Amino acid sequence: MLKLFYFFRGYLWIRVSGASAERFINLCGIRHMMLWDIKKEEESYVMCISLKSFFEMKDIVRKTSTKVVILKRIGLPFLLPGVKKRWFFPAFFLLICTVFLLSQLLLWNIHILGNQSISEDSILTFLEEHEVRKGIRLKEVDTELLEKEMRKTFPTITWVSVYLEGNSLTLSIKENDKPIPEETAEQEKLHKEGFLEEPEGMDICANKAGRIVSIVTRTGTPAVQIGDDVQVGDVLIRGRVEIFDNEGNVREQVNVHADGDVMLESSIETGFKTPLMKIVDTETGNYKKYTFSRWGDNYRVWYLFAIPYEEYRAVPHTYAHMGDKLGFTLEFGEMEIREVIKVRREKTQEEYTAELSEMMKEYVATLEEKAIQIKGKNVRIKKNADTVTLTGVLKVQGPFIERKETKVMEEPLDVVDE
Amino acid sequence: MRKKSIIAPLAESLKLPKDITNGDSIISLTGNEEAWIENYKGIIEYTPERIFLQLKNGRVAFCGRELHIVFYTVEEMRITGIIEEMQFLC
Repeated sequence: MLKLFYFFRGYLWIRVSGASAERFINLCGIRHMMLWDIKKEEESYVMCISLKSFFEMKDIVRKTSTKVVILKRIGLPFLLPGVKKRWFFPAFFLLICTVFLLSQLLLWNIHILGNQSISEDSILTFLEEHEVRKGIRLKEVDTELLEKEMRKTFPTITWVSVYLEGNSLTLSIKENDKPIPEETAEQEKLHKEGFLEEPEGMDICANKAGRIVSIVTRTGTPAVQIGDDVQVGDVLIRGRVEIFDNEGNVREQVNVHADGDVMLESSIETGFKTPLMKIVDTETGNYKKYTFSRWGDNYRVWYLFAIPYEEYRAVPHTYAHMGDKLGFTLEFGEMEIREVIKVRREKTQEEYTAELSEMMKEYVATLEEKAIQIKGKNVRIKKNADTVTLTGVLKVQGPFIERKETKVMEEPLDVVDE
Repeated sequence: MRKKSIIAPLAESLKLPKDITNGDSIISLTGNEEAWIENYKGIIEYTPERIFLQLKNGRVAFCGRELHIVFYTVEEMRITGIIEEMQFLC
C-alpha cells in the first residue's frame, strides 16, 4: 500500500556510501524524510526515498560527506515523459473516463414491478409518450409527474411509486385486485329468464363450408348437430331463445347475442409462387481492410480514400467491445470490405423448396394464430419456365364462424296470451 | 545508570505511560523475525548481522542474520530478519 502511494508520487532507489552513512539516515529521519527498504551492501547502504525527500536532502549529503547514487527511478512522474510518445493511450483512457462519467448522467434501465393486467409494453409506450426512454438525462425525469399521469392513464392502478435508483428508473405498481363490481340494478333488469336480452339478436353463422366437429352453446339456440354438413352463411347458433310455459308452448322469444364454440372441419386450397431465377452477390476475391468503430447500431468506417468498389460486402472483425452492462455498445475493430458482383442464376431444388416451405410455414402459422388446426395436407411443387409453384389442399379444423344479425322469422310463432 | 527524575515517582503514582514521561523506548518483537522500535534517537551501526541503535535512555543492539530495515522514520522503525540476540547497553 505504501509502495503504491509512493508509486503515484514517485520514488528512487539510491545508494549512499561514505564514512557517515548512518548519520545520513539519522538526519533524514530527523527531517521527517521517509526511508524504507534500507539494506547494507558491502560498505554502502541501498534504500528507497521519496522524490520529494530526495530534492530536500542536498544539505544532508553535504553535511555528512556521503555520496548518493541513483540506482533506479520508480513511479508515475518518471513514466509521464514516456507517455508523451504514446499519446493515444492517455487520450483513450480520458475518453473512456469521460464516456463513463457522462453515462452516469443518463438513464440506462427501466424496471417495472408489480404489473399484472397492464402489460409492460403499454407502460413503456406510456413512458415513451411522456418522453421517458433509455438514454435520456436523469434530470429530465419528473417522477412525481409520472406518478400522477400513470394514475390518470391506468385507472386500475391503485398505487404507484416512481423512483430513480442510480441509473435505473423503477416503477413499482399496485393494481386493483378487488373482484369486479356486481352488475347494477339496471343491468339486472335486462336479464330475462337468465338471459341478457338484447334489442337485436345475433346469430353465429358458418363462414366456410364444412362439417360440424363440435358445438358448445353458451347463449342462444343450437341450430346444427355434430356431423352436419353446413354451407357458407348457415346459422349454427341462433341468437334467439324460446321460453316455454308449463304446457310446453312457446311463451315468448328473447333476442340474445349467441355465444358458443363451434368447430368445423373443412379444407383450404392454397398456392404459392416464387420466381425460378435469382440474383446473387458473388465475391470477386478483391478486398480491402479498414478500421471501424461502432456506437449502438451506428457503424463508422474510417478511411482516407473512398471505397473503390461499386458494390461490396462488409465483414467486421471486432477487437474491442465494451459497455454492454452500462446499456450501450462501443466497438472497435477491422472491417473487411469485399467486392461483390451481381450474378443471375437458376435456384437449386433445395433453394426453391426451402423458400416455398417457408411461405407455407408462415401461412400455417397465421392459420394457427386463428386457432385453426391443420389435420392433414397434400402439397405439390411444380417447376415452370419462369416460376416454381406450390399447390395443395389443407385439411383444417377450426372456428370458421362469423356473427350476423338474427333474421326476423317469416312465420310468426304462436304466442300464448296469458 | 539512568538518572532518577522527580517526575518518575509522580508518573508512577498517576500511572502515566513511561514512554511519554521518561522517554523510554518501546520495542515490540514478533517472534524472532520482526521488531518494531519506537522512541529512538538514531542508528549507530547497521550491518546485516547487527543493528545498533541509540535510544533516549541508552543503546540497544539487535544481533542476528539478514537483518533489514524495512521502514524508517524519526519516530519508529521496523526491522526484519532472524533476530538471535537483543542487548541493552546502558
